[in-house]
This record gives sequence, C-alpha cells and structure tokens, in this order.
Amino acid sequence: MSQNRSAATLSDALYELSLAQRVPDAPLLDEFVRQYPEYADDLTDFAIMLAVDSLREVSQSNVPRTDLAEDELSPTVSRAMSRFYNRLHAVQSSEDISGQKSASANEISPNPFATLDRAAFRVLAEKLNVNNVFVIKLRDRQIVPETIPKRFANHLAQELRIPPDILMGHLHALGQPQIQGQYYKAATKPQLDAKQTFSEAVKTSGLTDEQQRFLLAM
Amino acid sequence: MVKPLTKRQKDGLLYARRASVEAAIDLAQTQDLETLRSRLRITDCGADEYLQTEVLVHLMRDARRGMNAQLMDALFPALLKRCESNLLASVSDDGLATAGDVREEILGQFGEMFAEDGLGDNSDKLDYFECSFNSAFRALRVDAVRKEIARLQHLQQLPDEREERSETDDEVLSRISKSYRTPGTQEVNQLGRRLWQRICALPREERRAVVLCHLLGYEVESEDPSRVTAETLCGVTGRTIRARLSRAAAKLAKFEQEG
Repeated sequence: MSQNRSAATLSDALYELSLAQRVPDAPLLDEFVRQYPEYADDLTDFAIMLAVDSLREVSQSNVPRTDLAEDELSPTVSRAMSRFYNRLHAVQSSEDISGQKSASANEISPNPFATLDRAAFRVLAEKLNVNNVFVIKLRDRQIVPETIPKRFANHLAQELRIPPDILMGHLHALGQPQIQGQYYKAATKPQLDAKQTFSEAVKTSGLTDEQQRFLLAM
Repeated sequence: MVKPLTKRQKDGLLYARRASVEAAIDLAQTQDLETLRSRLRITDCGADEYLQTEVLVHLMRDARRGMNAQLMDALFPALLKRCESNLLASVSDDGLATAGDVREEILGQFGEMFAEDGLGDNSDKLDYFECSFNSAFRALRVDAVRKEIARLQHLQQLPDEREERSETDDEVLSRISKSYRTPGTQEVNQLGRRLWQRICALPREERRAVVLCHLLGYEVESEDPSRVTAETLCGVTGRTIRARLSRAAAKLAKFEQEG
C-alpha cells in the first residue's frame, strides 16, 4: 500500500476516483481524501465537478458524427494527430540523444526537417498543398520512398533547400530507428517495413478531397 | 491471452479489463487490417462487429509499441473521432466560453498519452482507458474543464453577509438534490443540463458549497470535530458556508425565473 501511495500522482488519484464510482458521494470522497491527504483540495474540487457533470445527460463516447464524411477528419482531430506524431518524434529523438541505443550509419543521416520550427513546418505543408500529418509522415520516413512521385520529391527538396539526393538519403534511411530499446514492448517484433505507399499516405492523412486529387495526379 | 494491465488500484489490486473486452481483443488481434478497417466503419455500438473503445485503445497501444504505421493510421483517427463526439456533447459551447479550446486541449493531451505510453510517469496511464474508457475519459475531461473554469473565474471575494434564506431559495436547492439522486428520467436530465450550466457559472466558493451540501451530501458543520463537513473541507465557518449557499440559491432562483 505504501508503495502505491508514494508512486501515485494526482493524476492517478483523479482517474481512480472517476473509475471507482459513476456518481461520487461523500463516503467515496472521504475515502480518497484519507488515502491521498496531500491532494485533498484537488480531489474535492474534482469530485465537485464530477458531481456537477453527472447532473447532465452525458452522451456516449460512441455517438457518430454526421457532419463529416467517413474518411474526413475535423481540424481538431487533425491537430490532435499532429500532437501525437510530434510528441512521438520528440520522445524518440530524446532517446536518441540519451544514447540508450546504438545507432547505425543510416540512422544518423541528418534529418532535413529537424531545423524547421512550428511555423516553418506549417509553411512547408502549405507550399506542398498538404497538411501537417502528411509532412510528419515524410519527416518520420513513414512513406516508401520509391512510391513518391519524382515531381513531388523535387518540389519537397526545393522547399527544404537541399539537393534531391540528400532528401532521398533521408527518406531511405532506416525507417523507425526508435523502435529498438526500451520502448519496444510488443509481443511480436516491430516491423520496419510497416510503411505506407505514397497513395496510401495521401488517403489516410486527413487531406481534403482536392488535396488528394492534386497529389495523386502527380 | 491478452497481457494483463499493470496499473494498480489504491488498495493494491490490479485493474482488469472486462471479460467481454478481453475476448474482443483476442478476436481483433487475429484479424487483418482490412477486416479491422471495415469494423471501424461500424458506428452502431450495439452491432456485433462494433469495436468497443477499450479494444480500440488496446489495439492502438499495441500498434504504437510496434511502430506499425499502417495500423496506427487506421485506428487513431477513428479513436479520436469518437473522443471528439464525446467532447462535442459534454463540453458544449453554450456551457463554457472557451469550449472549443478546451476540447482541442483534451484531445491533444489524449493523443500525446499514446506517444508517451510506456515511458516515465505515463508508462501505464492508458490502462485506465482499457479498463473503463468512459470513466477514464471523463476524468481527463472533467479535470481539464475544472482547470479552465478556475482560470476563467477570478475568485470573487464577496462579503459573506447574506444568510437569510427565502422559501424560493430552499426550493431551488431541494430540486438540485432531487435531480442528483434520481437521474435517468427525461425531465430530470433536462433540468440537470440547465443546472449544470448554472452551477458551473457560480463563483467557485458558492459552487463548492452547493455541491458539497446538496449533491455529495455533506453537512454544513458538525459539533463532532472528527467529522468531515463542508465547513472542514472548505476551511471556513459554517456561517460562511450557509451564506454562500444562500447567495448561490438566490442566483440559481434568478436563473430559473429568467428561463
């Protein structure tokens, strides 16, 4: 028990409270405040908001949206996906820096996207007539290089201000070096070849129909 | 056999998925990408082939651990769309001035949890979502909303002088208690939604007093010093709690009159 206490964060305590009972009451809150006295104020506030929240009819998480086509992503969902990919890139880069795994010669190829800040990243996406998710896939080498139309690759190299062969070197570098080491917990071996073709990437990145037509016509 | 969850409850017991979720994960893991894609298109949660959200979370975690880009691209947008639907219903524009920003922040935080899964403090936080998605997502959502309300509402240190309560005030508070204890009927749900918006709009200290005393069932104060009451939780006197209840009730009654 004491081990659990020391390891528990406020966030854990809040999740536990929410999972413990659909509608909180005084005995439940008392129990949690006794268990986590250091979080008493936050737990009380949180229980109050849970109680207020339960006053209203909470919709199921599975209510389908009807204002978007099946494959279309809302801007909110697109941005959440961008945050996921950016965070993934950051944790993997930080692992690279900490030197917790060996890097092959391929893996240390300079990433031409690394120098782009958020604004430059967005500008690049606009110039390529794609979205951030698609650029992230290029950055993270998730697209099979041979399937990228030459015209698009040349345009990308031009916008990155690097020779096309440097760009291709990046795209051909070992796909996801980050899957080695401590982050690999899957029961089966990770697949380095779980990449997408250019057309698959176009269809699954939340691009508009117009953008998809433009890219697939290249 | 699906790998057990590692997150523990405060009594030390491991959290566990429901048996139906475990069985659904077992089945889904034998299915190819195209089959999963077709199942993801099913939005009727009563359909046999519908992928429960807990299952979706498990498959996505697995795909992320294996860095399976194709699987992640199939699963993640579907999962986020479900979350967005939940948020559009539960963090509505008419209840919070910055609802759009809050929804985006919650969805972004949820997305980042998958990137950080297996690392540091967040190593097994997504276990909660495999155990009970709705309860876990509610925790994420309510915590974000309460922080935003606190940010927006500058604490109003109004004098606590008003203590007299009218009959109308008591009626309002009585209806709040009833609404909380008898959920489910359409009438109560409609009343609840309005009350939710109005209680959220109260200053923090008044909201705390109303919810502690009329929703959670705490006494205002007690002569027994070992007893937890609204007075002890808020760190003020019982008189102050009663004054806050009185002010809140007057505001809620005014809201009702205004429709």
